[in-house]
Amino acid sequence: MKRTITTLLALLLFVWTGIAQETAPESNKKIPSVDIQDLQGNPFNTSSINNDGKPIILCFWATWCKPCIKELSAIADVYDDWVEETGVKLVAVSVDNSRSSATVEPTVNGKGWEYEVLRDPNEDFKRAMNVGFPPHTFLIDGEGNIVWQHSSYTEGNEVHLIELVRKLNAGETIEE
Amino acid sequence: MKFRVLYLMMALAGILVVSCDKLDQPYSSEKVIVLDTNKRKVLLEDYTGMKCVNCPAATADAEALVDLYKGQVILMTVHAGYFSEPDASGHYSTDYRVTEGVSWFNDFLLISNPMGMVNRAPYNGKPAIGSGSWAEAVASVAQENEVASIRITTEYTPLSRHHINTTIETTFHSELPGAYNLTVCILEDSIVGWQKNNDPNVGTVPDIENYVFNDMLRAVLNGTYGEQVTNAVDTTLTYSNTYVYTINDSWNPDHLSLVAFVFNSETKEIIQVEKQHLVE
Amino acid sequence: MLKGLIVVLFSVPVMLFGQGFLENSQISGSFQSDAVYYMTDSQLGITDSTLDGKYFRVQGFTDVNYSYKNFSAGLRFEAYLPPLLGYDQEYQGYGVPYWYVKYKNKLIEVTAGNFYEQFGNGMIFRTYQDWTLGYDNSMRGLRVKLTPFSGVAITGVVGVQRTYWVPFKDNNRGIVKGLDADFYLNDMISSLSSSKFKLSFGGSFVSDFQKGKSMEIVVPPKIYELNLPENVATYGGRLNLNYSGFNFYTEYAHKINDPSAMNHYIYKNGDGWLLTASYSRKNFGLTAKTKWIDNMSYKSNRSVTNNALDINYLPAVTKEHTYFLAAMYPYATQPTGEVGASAELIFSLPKNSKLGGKYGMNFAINFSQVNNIKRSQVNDTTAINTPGTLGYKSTPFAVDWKDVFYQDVNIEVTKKFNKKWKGIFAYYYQTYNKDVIEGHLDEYGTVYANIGVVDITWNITKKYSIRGEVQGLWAKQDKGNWMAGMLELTISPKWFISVSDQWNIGNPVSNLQLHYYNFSAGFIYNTTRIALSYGRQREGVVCVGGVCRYVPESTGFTLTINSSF
Repeated sequence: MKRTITTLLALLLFVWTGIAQETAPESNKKIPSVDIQDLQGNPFNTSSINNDGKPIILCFWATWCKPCIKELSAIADVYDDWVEETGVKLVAVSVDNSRSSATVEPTVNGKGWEYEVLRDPNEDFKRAMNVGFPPHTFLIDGEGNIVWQHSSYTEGNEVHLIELVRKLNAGETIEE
Repeated sequence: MKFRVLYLMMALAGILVVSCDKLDQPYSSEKVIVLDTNKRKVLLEDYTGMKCVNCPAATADAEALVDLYKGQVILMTVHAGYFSEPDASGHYSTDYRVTEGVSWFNDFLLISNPMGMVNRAPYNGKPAIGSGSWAEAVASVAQENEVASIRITTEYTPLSRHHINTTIETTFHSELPGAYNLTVCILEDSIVGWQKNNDPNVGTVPDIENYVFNDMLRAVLNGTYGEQVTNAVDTTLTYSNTYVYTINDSWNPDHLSLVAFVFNSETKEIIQVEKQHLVE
Repeated sequence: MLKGLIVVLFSVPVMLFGQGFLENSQISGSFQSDAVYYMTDSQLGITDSTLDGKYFRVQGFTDVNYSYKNFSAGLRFEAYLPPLLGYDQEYQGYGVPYWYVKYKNKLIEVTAGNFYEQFGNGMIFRTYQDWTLGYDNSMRGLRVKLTPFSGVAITGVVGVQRTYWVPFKDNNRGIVKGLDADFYLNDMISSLSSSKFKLSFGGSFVSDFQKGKSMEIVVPPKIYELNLPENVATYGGRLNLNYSGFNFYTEYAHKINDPSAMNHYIYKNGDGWLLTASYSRKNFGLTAKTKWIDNMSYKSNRSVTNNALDINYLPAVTKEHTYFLAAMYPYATQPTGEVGASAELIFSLPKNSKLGGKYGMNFAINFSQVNNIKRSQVNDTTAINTPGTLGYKSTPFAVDWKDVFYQDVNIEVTKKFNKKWKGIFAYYYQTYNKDVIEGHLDEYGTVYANIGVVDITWNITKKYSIRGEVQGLWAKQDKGNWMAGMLELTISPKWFISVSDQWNIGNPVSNLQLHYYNFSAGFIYNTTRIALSYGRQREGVVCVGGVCRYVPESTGFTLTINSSF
């Protein structure tokens, strides 16, 4: 019986993956509705993430994650220029659990970041977005479709990211 | 509608509040053990290691059980697992492991030390039992009726020093289904060596220099899962198995004993066990 | 269980292939596989028997989520063939330990199957999963979430927790029930909705039912019969206040008599208290925390002592570090009793300021200390922690000052020098009670470690960059001094290559002054990451959020692939 179920499962996963690839481009993938918290711990539903029809960069991060801090700090240096040029908004979702969730707001302010920050202390949103490890970055177009995503951070990634935002604003499709 | 939901939740809360037991003193009482010869004997296997700091306390628990269940509980300590692996040099370089013991440790998924088994019977779904639950597991097995008996007869004279000739006779008291195997082991008492420890009630901390290992598995006479006794139980028969064995020079014959146990070949659950000192 | 699985497995494809569903449905998932080929290493003392003869070990999972309008369903397949070294070997095997079906609308959310949930900060209830830690205590059962009015959230749960692959039967763990309510005043009362002053409070109740009114334990030379509470209940309350940059949060939890292997079968009630305050404005952030934990281990099987079947989560107040040597001595919460406090100051000297220079400068200063709690005997004749008694007496926040578990003072400075160069400079002073934290008794004592880290990044071009780390750890205890270095070349956004070495230069035993080298290279393509490495793994403790796992020494090749779609 166990073997039958396993075989069935493997088959289904295969079918699923096939369909997932067929229905991609990811244009019909939207942000799922998950109840998480705002920066102060008040309720926030992820379906209300928006930027008035302009693109959104959604970053999963944590206070203990060095590459995440590097990525968000690197973007912080040029964020004003980005906003002015493209109208993009960065939403930083902290996956810090209750050990460090209280330090999220002081960290964000202490670093001088001007992002919209959300807290996902039990990783409900992270799970719903299939994020393995932070940092994980999503690019969302003006209609709320997830058009691109990338895991991990290497120096210079932000240069590539803003180019994608520019492409998106120019109405080009993002394929790579 | 909204209010109805709220009432429902309040009712649920009420049920939850009832789900709380507040106990009063005294919380515990001493158990008096009444021995009953119609009940089966119990093999308590203590999987241990000389580098396992929690093991001396567990072994002390096991020995207390042996003392309290006079003759009904038989202890066998088996060195196996990570903490029994000898160091290349130093105080902990003695290898007390026996191949069959290591196989049991792996096959029954004992994982760590201290761990034990009680008649290799499932307890909470698996045979591996943490030392904190040994008393509980022994108590439940010790209530089961005796279904078979074992008699050990060993020929051994100090003159024939190295050779033993042992006969195990098994009789069944009821028509049990399935096949049954027999395993015969040699245990040695009073082996002195280094043992790590973290319980000051048992000995010095962090090392006991002259720890006395008792009931230590030294050899298995007839393979990891023994030899078949029968595959169709007949209560009118006495099944007899004989083994000749040459004991190791370094073992002290005065400290040796034989342990024989009969178990279901399929489930591996032990139905009866017997112990006999080599030199009475 | 089987039935449930089949329902999930079949309902999803049926929905999929049904007309019109395809356009509105979404499928997503993720995948990870860690494969290691272990090798024997005479210097590290790794032999065939340490590896149990299993040189090639693979573990991995696939997660698939499906959603259609208000419905969603998903499952996770896991395989450990066999588990990597350092992971609980009980994971050996494969199967579907996690599946769910969910319906959600504005008023109600219902989940059947497995779920992860947290009440408040988790001090009385939290189920979560951490792949790195090999930890999963998910509930399998039913969860209902209600939002009857704006600003009110009620959650009810019932189920049993996951423990490796062991199916729920024969009373091998308890049934956990819980109820939680949150009230957000500013959302409930419309006149407060635009107020800068925000207040919310909540309360929860959890009960664990484990059948059996008595059990026997050995206290040599006797056996005692303990009367057991079949239902072990906990309750707690919390309060959260915000006013512009000020935040205050407190949570209290109380547990009624819960004799268990973790607390030596004592009957004392448990208490947990957490207080957090913070203030921040642009370029400045300050956090202060304190915590009291007294007999708060809460598991759904009273005889379990390893990292499994935890119903609650007790966060550590100490800071989590990630640099090799700064993470050598990590702290883990002591659920039977600890009292701790911490403070963290983060500030930036702004860009183009006198002190901050053209690119500004950032400082993070952190202090934390955790001590044992003060315990006294219940009466003259009963020793502390005697099984079958109240155990001991304690007073909230009464500290045993002599018994320090952990202390950490650290400062991290981040500085960007110019467009091409930036660096992080850090110093840590850690006091680590190895015996208590790792569960030994008077074996190692306390380690006092000074740690320094320099981390420099050179952006050669927009595409190429090199990062180097130099680290040192100075300690007179345990394994003595360490040096570590790391060099990493990244070619954005797709490639990285790195070389690192940790050298136990000051080990008191000269032939243990070993090198723990590592070579790795990786490729990242959007959400797919493939990394191959060869090297040695240092013995250590991996901790995530105060829960730790021991990792033994090893040598070998590691291939990690993860991806999401």
